[in-house]
Amino acid sequence: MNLQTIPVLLLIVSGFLLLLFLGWRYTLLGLALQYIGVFWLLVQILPVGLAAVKLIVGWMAGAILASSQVSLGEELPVTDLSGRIFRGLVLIFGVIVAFSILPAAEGWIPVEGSVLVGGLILLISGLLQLGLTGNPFRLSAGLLTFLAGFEMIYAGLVSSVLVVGLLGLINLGLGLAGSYFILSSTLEESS
Amino acid sequence: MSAPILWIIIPLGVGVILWVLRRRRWLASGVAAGLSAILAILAAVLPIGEVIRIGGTQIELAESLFVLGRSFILTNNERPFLVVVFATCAVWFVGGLILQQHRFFAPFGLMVIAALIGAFAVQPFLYAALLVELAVLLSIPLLVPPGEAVQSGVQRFLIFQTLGMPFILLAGWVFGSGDIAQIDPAILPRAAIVLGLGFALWLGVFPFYFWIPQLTKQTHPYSAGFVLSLLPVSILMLGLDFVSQIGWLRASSTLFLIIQLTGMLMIITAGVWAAFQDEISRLFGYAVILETGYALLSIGLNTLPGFMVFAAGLLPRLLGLFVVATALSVFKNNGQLTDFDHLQGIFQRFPVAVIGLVLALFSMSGMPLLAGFPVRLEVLELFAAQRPLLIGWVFLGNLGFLIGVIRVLLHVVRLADQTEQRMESWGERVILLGGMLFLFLFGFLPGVFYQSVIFILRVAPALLTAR
Repeated sequence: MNLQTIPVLLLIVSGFLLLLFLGWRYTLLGLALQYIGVFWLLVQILPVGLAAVKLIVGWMAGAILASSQVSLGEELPVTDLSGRIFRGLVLIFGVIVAFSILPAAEGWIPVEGSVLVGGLILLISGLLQLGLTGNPFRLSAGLLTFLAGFEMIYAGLVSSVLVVGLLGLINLGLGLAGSYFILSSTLEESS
Repeated sequence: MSAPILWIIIPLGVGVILWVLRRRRWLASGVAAGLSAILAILAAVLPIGEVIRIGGTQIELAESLFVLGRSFILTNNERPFLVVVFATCAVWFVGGLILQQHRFFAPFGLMVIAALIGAFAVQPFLYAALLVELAVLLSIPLLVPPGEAVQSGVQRFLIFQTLGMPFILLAGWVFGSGDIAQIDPAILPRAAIVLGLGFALWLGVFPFYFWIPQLTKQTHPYSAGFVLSLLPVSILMLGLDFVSQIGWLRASSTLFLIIQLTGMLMIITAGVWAAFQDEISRLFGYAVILETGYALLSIGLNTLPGFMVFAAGLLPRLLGLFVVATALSVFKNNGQLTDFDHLQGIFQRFPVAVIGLVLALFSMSGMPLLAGFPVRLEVLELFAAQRPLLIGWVFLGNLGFLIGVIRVLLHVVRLADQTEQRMESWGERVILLGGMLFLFLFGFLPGVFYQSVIFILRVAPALLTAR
């Protein structure tokens, strides 16, 4: 097994955690693993400092979301076994799709194979999360996953400090927007 | 002093300061309106890159500002766009003051505008996508007032805008990666498709627009109107700027054909859905879609008159959306529901708002003597000359929207059985009457207003010189 297979597996595991187990603890764990995988893969193509920015910003955005959910004090709705089986099968199908379109994607996007497949898995996982929920917490986690997938692919194409910085700002902004979504109803009314 | 500091950094900084002072809503809204008006006037009178003498002192407003090795550039070509954007903002902030918008409206409104102008000024273009996404994120507190739960419309707005950003960045990477002649020719059409998808998601183009009526129904109409007025207009101008910079895109007749057909599809679908709407706030969303459809139809003509009609259409679009949003806000602030089952007696309670609403909707559907008529007539004539077989479909869409407006009219004139008390304030009446006055003035004297706004096209000089 290639060393670069480990972070790809980590991303698949994080996808399952985010999609199957819907509590905030599992989501936080899933996001933490996801950003470790992203960091591991990006270290091949970016300086360690820039790759670390993505790791830290991702963890911070996940922490903001989770702390907001904890502050709200409401348990997230859970899914039953049949729902989990469905979600699991959908993600397995998504991973198969990611590996299937890899050769075609490599022809157009000149990025190292493991980074590209990792990015595609996260893009698909993020889209699945967005499509299967209306909950602000999970929706924000889905957006962060989708964006992490895109950032991985894009980092192979453009390695500008300003792009990394602005994407980091957007990740934090998504975390804060998600936090605002979760807590807006509890804030003091404006009028 | 440089132009980007004046029109990007200052509004951004003032927005942050106003956020600190957000509890003093009158002050925040007043400062935001005053600053926007001053910046609009400065954009109109202050040349960029030239030395100006004021008394004994000389001032030169530089074009560029460098940040982390990238440049933000605003030239004299962008000044008409700055005038339109900041004048529009000033009007919206004054309206926000009168309509007592929530405490995040003015601070985040200013920050959104600063981010959008930043997107317009940044070079190279691919950074614009990131700044537009920042503007979208900054507009979330504007759309969801503190104390209210978030609804699916705002969530979908965020999702679709965020999904659009990667497509623009990828296309920007292809088109911005050096000499276009050295890029594999097979890549260029794919990159154009990616670019088109990005703009389609950003603009809420068919079939990605179902969040727009949801947004207008579920959020406060004034906040939704502000975002849906300024964001699509800025994105359309960004798109023109981008196409203007890339020779391959400029020369692609297929691209403009797709833009035109997409615009046509938006007009048809918006019109058909509007005809069956039983909720005025959702009709507002379809009005936004119809306006974007007409804008794309004009751009897709790919002729100088087509681009001029697009630019001229911005004024009636902004004015119409402002009057509709203001009227709907008056209803909302007074607890008046806007579905057809609850409209009896509304004309007695809100006579000016009802007249303003109906006039603005008629203007958007192209009724004679109103602001929208001259540009609708022009774009339909140009389109009919270019594609006579398809003009009927556009008429069908427009007719559908008109039917929707007539249905609104038939419901709002139903009088209540007993006498109703008028519930509009004087401030609300004044701002609505001002809007209605301009709806008629634009309709009666189109040349006076539209000739001034077409200079906005200077942002895409290469696009115009080629036609």
